[in-house]
Amino acid sequence: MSEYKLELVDISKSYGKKVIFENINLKIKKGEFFVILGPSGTGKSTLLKAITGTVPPDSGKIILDGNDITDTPINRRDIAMMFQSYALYPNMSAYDNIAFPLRMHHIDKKEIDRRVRSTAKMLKINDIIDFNVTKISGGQKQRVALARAIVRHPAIFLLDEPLSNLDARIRYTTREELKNIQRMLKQTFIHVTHDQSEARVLADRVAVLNEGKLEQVGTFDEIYNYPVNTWVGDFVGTFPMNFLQEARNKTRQIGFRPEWTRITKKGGINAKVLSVENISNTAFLFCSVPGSAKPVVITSRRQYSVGDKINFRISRFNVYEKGRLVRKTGTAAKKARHPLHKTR
Amino acid sequence: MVLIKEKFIPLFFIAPALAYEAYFAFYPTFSAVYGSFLTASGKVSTINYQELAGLGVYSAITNTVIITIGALALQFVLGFIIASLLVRGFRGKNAFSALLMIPFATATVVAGYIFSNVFSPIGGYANGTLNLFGLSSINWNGAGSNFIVNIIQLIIADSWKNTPIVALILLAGLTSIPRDLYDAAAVDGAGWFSRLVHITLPNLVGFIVIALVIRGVSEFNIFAIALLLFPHKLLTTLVYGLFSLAAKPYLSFAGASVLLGFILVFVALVLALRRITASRSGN
Amino acid sequence: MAKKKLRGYLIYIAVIILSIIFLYPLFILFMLAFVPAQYTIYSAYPSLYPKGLTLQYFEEALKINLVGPLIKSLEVAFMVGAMALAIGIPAAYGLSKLKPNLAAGISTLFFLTNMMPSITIAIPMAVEFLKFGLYDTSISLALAQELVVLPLSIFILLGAFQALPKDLEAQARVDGAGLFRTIYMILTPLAKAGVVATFLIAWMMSWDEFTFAIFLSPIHPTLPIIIYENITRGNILATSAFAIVVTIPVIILAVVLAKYLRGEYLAGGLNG
Repeated sequence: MSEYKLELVDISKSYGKKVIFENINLKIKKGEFFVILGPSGTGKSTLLKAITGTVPPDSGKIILDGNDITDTPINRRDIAMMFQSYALYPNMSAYDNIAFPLRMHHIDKKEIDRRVRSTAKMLKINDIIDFNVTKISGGQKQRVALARAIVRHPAIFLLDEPLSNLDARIRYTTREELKNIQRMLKQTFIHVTHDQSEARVLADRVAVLNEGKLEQVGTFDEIYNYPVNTWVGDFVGTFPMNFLQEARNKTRQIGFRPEWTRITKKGGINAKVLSVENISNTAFLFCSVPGSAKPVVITSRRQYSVGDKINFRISRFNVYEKGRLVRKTGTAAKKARHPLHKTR
Repeated sequence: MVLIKEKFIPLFFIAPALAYEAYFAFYPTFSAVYGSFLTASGKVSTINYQELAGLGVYSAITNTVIITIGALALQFVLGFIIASLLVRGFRGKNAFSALLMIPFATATVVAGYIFSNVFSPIGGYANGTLNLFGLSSINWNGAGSNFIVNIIQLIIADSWKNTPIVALILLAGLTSIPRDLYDAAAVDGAGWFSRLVHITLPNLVGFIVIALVIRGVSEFNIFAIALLLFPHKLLTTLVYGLFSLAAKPYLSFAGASVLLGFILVFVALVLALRRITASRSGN
Repeated sequence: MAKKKLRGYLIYIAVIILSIIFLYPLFILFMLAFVPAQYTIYSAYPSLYPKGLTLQYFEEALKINLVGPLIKSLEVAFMVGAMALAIGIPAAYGLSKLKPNLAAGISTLFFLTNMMPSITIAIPMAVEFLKFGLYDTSISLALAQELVVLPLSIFILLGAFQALPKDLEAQARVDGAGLFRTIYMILTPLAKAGVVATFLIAWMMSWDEFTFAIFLSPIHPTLPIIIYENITRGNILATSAFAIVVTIPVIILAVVLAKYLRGEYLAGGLNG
């Protein structure tokens, strides 16, 4: 038995000339909450569908629990998936929706009833269980879909943007619940999202996908602190990583997060405040800096107004050569977590 | 359980339909076409076609083409009017759309029979109605009747039966056009004619093509109604001609003339298909 | 304002004229069947309204052998409808998995088979059926009529399947349903309206079909053939009454089930 739950070996998919994803290699550990993060339309959903087999990859292998399942019929893979659209069977009640996968696996009627009811109770949908799924609210639909996925005890759970169709308020609580459920079931979850706050809160490890290519795999903090290239630095983080050209070397840039800066009275870099955004107790200052086309974002405890002239120093930075990470510097910064961790 | 590669699943499911069509349609079609080029002794020749030309196949072809074009024109004009009425809603709309079902549900033979009583050479309901309005009677289908008159009554009878289908398809097309488009055009100052040309018709193209294909194929094959209206072969359509020939052992003749019809309709269909694709890519 | 009112009148004038056009031929059929012949076919200019009533022709009509042909027609029509679904549903499902353009191409190919006049196909077909001892049976006629029905059936069903959310099928497969169960437990029930429309239209097309019926089932004919035969025999008045007996139930059926006879289904693939 392999130590990995799921291995994707060199899988690729394209429609004609349009490449959806290419040469994806991923190893997902047992019991891991794994998040695939990327902008919309970069092949994340298709990657999940490739794992289920509903969109077979053109090449490569998919290995589940050490067994090659690349050519296994979809219905005989031990996988549960929750679609972004929830894909509830509209002609059935919530109960029948949840029971459907169990019935397909020829489980005893009494056992089906027991499991459907206990799962529904766990997800607090036991009072709507006899309703037709077209007659329940969006949040309830999401729970029915989730219940249908977890009722089966499959080898692995695939969740395609499971929170994106929810109102912001329910989204935060559901996010916590999802994490709790995963901890309770001790199962492997693969969660696809474009929302990095979900990756930050939920993920044991994160894979960043861009235009069909894996950019980086690691914990959220690793990716946040040491993005392997400028694209990841730009994409991950509430504010993009700041990049400044090195004076001596035109191909080199230094990258730093807003909170890796310190405002000083004198010296350092001169900047002019363009706009201010407050999140909790921290002010994020968008500043124009000589030699940089894009505004640089720095943090401050004190309030500044637009037009103020300030000086700041960079306390920690990474070095990028032609857009790729070549040197991690930074002192005690390893443990430095970005300020949003404390909020919410 | 047999494993089917996902790639071949569509083919696997289409196969029964393909097999059915191949055995019952493609095969007889090709053997008929092939047979039309054979003489009685089995030599390849065009003699059947020459003989057929002598039998006056040209008039059957012209008749069929004129009837097809005329019937389609009448059915589309009436169908469009009906669909435009139904799309806007008025009191009694439901009753009116129920009336649409009358011709739809009346068997072609019955429709042909009714119209053969409407159009009598002398007298009859059509002439009675004409007289009511002070017009003189028309010899609809008696000896020496005008062939244009023959064609017109065939078109009328056929259109009574088939306009509802065209109307239903066009109505589906009209309902699929978002009202916003009309409102926006009206705000932009478009009159009813430019709304028709710039919004209604372009959005209706796909539906028009489908109705054309469904109806056009049937019009080319028009037979039962003609048989009932003109039991004495006053007006021969292509298929009516085949019917007369079929009673005799002139199988290869039939095959020959069929080929002509086949090609004609085929051309019509390809044109229609081209328009389907054009409208698809245009969207 | 006046303009709007005028338009309202125009709509009603158009509706009334069209209603008369739809109704009048049926009205004539009723007059032929229930008005004494001296006011209808025996007078040079038949009366445009009923001048008397008689049930004589109706009674004569009942002497025409109704039961046998009715059973035959019903049998064939139900077979044609069932076959349209049995062959059409898998085909439409298969086509729905292909690229829309390719699916449109193949379903057009099916329509092409309709180009061949029924007569030309009917004669060699009759020979084949004789060989297999199937001549004059309901199944042979149904197999022939299916040629006219199947292309439209596939087209309607294709539209219904293409309109279903793609995720549902994937979800059912992931949930452990095999391909066949997915099609028959999930997809077909969801495409119900299209399925009913297909059956109904197939049924009605078979009910109406003339050419194949006259060539392939002359000994045990269907209703349209009986009507045709009685007309050619000159049994005109009783045939009128007979035609009413077989037409009115179908009209009622069509009106009741009109919601399934919508153009949206006929225009199938366009909605997908």
